[in-house]
Amino acid sequence: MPATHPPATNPMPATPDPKPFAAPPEGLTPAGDDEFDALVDSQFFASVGSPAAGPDAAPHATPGATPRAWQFGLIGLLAKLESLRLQFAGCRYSTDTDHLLDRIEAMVLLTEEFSRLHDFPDASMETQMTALAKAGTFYAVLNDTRHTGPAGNSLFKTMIAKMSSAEPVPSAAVRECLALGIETLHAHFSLFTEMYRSSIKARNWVDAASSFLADFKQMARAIPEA
Amino acid sequence: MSQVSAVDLFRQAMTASKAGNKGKTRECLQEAVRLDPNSETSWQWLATVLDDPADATLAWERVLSLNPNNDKAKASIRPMRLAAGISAAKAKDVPTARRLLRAVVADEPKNEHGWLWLASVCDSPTEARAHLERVLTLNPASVAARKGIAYYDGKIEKQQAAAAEKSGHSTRLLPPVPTAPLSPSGTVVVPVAAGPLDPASTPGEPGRVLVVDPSRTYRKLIGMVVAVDGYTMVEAEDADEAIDRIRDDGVPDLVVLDSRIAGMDAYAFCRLLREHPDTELIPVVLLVAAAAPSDRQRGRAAGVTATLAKPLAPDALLTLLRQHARAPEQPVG
Repeated sequence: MPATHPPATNPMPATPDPKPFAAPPEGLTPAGDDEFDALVDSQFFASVGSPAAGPDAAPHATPGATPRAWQFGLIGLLAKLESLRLQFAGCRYSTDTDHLLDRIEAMVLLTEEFSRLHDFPDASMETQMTALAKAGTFYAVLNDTRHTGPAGNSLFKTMIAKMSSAEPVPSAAVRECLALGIETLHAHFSLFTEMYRSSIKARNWVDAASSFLADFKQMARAIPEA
Repeated sequence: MSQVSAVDLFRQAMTASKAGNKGKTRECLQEAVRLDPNSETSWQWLATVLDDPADATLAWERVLSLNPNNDKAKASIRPMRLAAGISAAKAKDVPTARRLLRAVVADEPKNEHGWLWLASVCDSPTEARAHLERVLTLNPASVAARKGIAYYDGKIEKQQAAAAEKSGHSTRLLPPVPTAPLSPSGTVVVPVAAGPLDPASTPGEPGRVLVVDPSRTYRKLIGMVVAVDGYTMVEAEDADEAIDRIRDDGVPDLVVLDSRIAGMDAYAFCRLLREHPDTELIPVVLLVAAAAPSDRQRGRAAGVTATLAKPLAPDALLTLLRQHARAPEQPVG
């Protein structure tokens, strides 16, 4: 399918254009950083910058989680993701296909599971749907890339499929999986950001998450072919 | 109500996609676009799971009608539309093929295959010939275009002869050169962020934690944890930078040190701190990839106060901070 195999000349598939960053709200410094801008897009500002929410308002608690528990949950999640990201170091697209795909799948699973454990009453429907759509697209492409049939099949089937796979997985497909995985994480981070009612309270999270995404994109682009 | 249902359908679609069930994914998304026909996200996801290129093209067209600036749609629709146009032409579905292939050449005026296949579904031999001329300007070596032109020339001559017979005089039709609007490039550059360091606290200010870690994400995360108790974070990527920070900003209340720092070894850095009278009492929390006994022993020998395994557990770090660092004089919140 052409959509799943971008031209070889494109080192990383294009990611959706971040929404334009108009003006920083109170408490936020203009970082001049597109990832930052993407995370704290106009939609996010619309919720955190509303008069109803003061600049020092606490993050919105999800059922069963205090604001600190929510914040620490995010820190724990991002710490795990960062540890997994560091395992991409030294990998090559041609020789470490399984390693790369397993790691990115683990990252998306962790994030998606974290998201499933929480409700997002104040998040916009569009943000929630985007996060789900990104995850769904990622899993579809990942399953196609692995050529192992539906996930959840028997181990035997998976092994047979792996052994009978004469063609190596094209690097472009692995690259696209990584790009889609990063987009999925990005979409979920935007969703998590919407749980903050205050731009000041959100700033540290946005800063950490955007650093992570920027480093991950750079790392994925720098992975050599062979 | 319909939006809530759409989210539920998305959840089902995501679960189906995870399980590799394309049919179920498609079903859920078709229902989602039926519930909310103006959801760009729904149409975009649906477009990626449709097997038939013609259906997928329609879905991408819908995405573009909702958001003409959707770069993903712009990039995906091109190969999809051409494939769908060729399939329709082969299936003799002339109106569909013509619509799709006209859209292809309008979007990509230099698409040789688009012009060639469009010629094959034209009603008028003159128009078909003009499209083939266009192919020859793009690729003078195209055998298919030359053969096609010869074929249509024969047809045009027959038409002219028939017309001349009717009217009593002969005319020669000059094929017009079709024009198509130029489309902008749909490439997206992924920029690389370079976040500035947070401003370090001034010398003598209470409640400062020095974080020495090569990962800037980790530094920021640790900064978030220590901020809970009102500490400010001073960050360094390696031991050399950490020494500069201590020299410039003063002695911190606690050092969080990653075991994998570049340059000077983390254990050597810890020993260095212990050797200096100003820094010998600073509590040092060592972060290790896995809390192996050897790491703990090595750390203890170097004067490390406590060891913490990565990935970071925020509660555990906060407990150590409260145990070993003196409380900041002015908690920030």
